[in-house]
Amino acid sequence: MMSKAMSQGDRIIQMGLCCPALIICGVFVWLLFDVVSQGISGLSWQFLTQLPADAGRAGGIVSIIVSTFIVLIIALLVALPIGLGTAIWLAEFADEDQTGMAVAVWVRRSLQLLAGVPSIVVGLFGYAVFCQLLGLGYSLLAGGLTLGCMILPLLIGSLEAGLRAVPCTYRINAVALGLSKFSVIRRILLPQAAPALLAGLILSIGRALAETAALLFTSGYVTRMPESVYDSGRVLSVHVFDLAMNVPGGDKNAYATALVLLLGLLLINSVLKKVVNIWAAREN
Amino acid sequence: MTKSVAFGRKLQHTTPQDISLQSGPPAISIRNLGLSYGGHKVLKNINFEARAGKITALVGPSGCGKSSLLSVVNRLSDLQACKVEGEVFIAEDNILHSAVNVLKLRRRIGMVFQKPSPFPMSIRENLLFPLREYGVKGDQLEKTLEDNLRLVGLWDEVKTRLNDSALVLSGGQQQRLCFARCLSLNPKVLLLDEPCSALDPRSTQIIEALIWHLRESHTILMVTHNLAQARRLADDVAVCCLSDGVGSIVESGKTAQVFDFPAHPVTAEYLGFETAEVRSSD
Repeated sequence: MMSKAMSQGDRIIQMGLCCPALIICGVFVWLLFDVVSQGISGLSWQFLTQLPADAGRAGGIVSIIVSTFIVLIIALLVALPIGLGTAIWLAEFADEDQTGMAVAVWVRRSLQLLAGVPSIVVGLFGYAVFCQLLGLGYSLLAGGLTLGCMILPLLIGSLEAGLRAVPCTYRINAVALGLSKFSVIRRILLPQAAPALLAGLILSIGRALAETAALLFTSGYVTRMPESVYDSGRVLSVHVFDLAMNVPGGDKNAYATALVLLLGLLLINSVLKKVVNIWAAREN
Repeated sequence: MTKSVAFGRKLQHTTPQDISLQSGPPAISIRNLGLSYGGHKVLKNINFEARAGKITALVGPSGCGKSSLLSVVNRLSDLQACKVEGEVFIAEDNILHSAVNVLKLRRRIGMVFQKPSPFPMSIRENLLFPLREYGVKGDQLEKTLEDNLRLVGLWDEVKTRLNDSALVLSGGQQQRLCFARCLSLNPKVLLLDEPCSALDPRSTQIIEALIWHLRESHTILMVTHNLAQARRLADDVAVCCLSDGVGSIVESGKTAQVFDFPAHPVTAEYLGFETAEVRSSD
C-alpha cells in the first residue's frame, strides 16, 4: 500500500520498480501454466509406474524417476559432507592464521571458477575423470559424482554466508565460557545457519534436477530400469530433452515429464523445509 | 610474555596445566601490562591489584582501553591479532603463560558483557549446555540450574517456562540469565564489562544487588562508565585514562580515597568533569 506521505516522484519510482517484479511473477505463472496445461493430460498413475516404450512416446517414466532419484542421492551424499566441511572451515577456521587465509583465498577462487564453468564442460570433466580414469563408464555413479561437483559452489556459498551471518556475540560468549569450538558449531552456529543450509540445499537440488548436459556425458541416456549405481540410466531432464528434440510425437510425454520434475522439486522442497525446521528446533 | 595471535587462533590449549583457583576467590595482580594491535599501542604500563573477594571498578573515558584490559584477564584477547606484554597473576599463576589451559581458565573466570546475549536456545538449555560440556550429569544438572536461577532472582519468573526461548525474556532478565549461566560454572573471578549499561533503572538495581551479593565469594573486576555505580558498589577503583592515545592506569586505591581525595590531577579532572556533566544533565 502506498504511503500518504509519499511524494509524486517516489510513487513513480515505486511503480517503476514494481514493474520488473511483476514481470518476474508473470514469466513464472506463464511457465507454470504452459507446463501444467500441456502436461496434465499425460499424467496418470500408469505414466508414473510403467517403463517407457516406443522411445518414450508410450508407457511411463518409472525407470527415469528411479535413475533421477539415485543420481540426486549420490550427488547429495558427495556434496553435503564436503560442502558442509568446507563451509565450516571457511567461515570458522580459515581466518585463524596466515596459512589458513592463503588457502582460503585459493579455495574461494576454485569455487568461483567451478560455479562459472559451463555444465557441458563439467560433463566433459566428469566423463574424463569418473567414466574413463576411474573406470566407472556411463553410470549413475559417474553422473551423481559429476553433479556433486557442480552443486558444491552453491551449497558452500549459501552455508558459509549463513554461518557468517550468525552474530559474533554468540561466539564470544561461548569462548568466554570456555566452550569448545565444535560444541558451539554444532549447538549454536549450525542451527542458526539452518535457513541458509536449507536455501543452499533447495538451490542445489534444483540445479541437480535441471541438469542435462553434464549427465548426457556421464550417466548416459538408456531408459531401462537401473539395477545398480554402475548401470547407465536416464534422468528426467535428459528424458524431457530427448523427447522434445529427438522423438517426433514425444511432446505430450515431454510436458508430462516436465510436470513430474516440477512437482518432484516442490515435494522435495517441502520435505526439506520440514526436516530442517525439526532439526533446528531440536537443537534449540 | 609475548603473544601474537589472529582471530580464533589458539582457542584451545590442551596442555594440562590449570590455574590454581580451587579454594576461595583469588587476588588479581596486573604487572607492567601492555597491549598493542598491529603495532598500535592501546595499553601500557598497567599495574594494579584487584583484591580477593572485593569489587574493583575500572573507570575512565570511552576508548581508553578498559574493556581491552578486561579481555586480557581471561585471554579473550587471544581472539584478536594483538600483542600482550607483561604479567597477569591470578593467585600465584601468571595466566598469560603459554602453558595455561585456556578453556579451564575461562571456566574459572566468568565474564558478563555489556549487551545481554543468551544463546538462541531455551532458558533451560542456556544453562545446561555449558554444564553438560563440562561433564555435569543427572540430577546435578537440574539442581545447578535451579540454584543459579534462584541466585540471580530469576527462578520465580521463569520456572514455569524453562523450555521457552531465552530470547523472549526482557533485557534485564536476559542479563540475569547470562549471570546465572556464568555462575553455574562456579567461577572464582568475575569480569563484568558494563553489565548494566543496556538496562533500565529497575533491572540495573536488581543486577547491582546481585553483584553486591556475589562480592565475598568472588573477586570482581567491573568496567563501568557510571561513576555513581562505581561508588555504590566498588571497594576499590582503578582510573584508566588516555595519554598520547595510549591507555594507562593513572590511579588506583580504595573507592572513597580515589573519589574524595584523588591523588592524580587527571583523575581529579575526570571525576570533576563527570560530576559537572551529571549535575548539568540533572
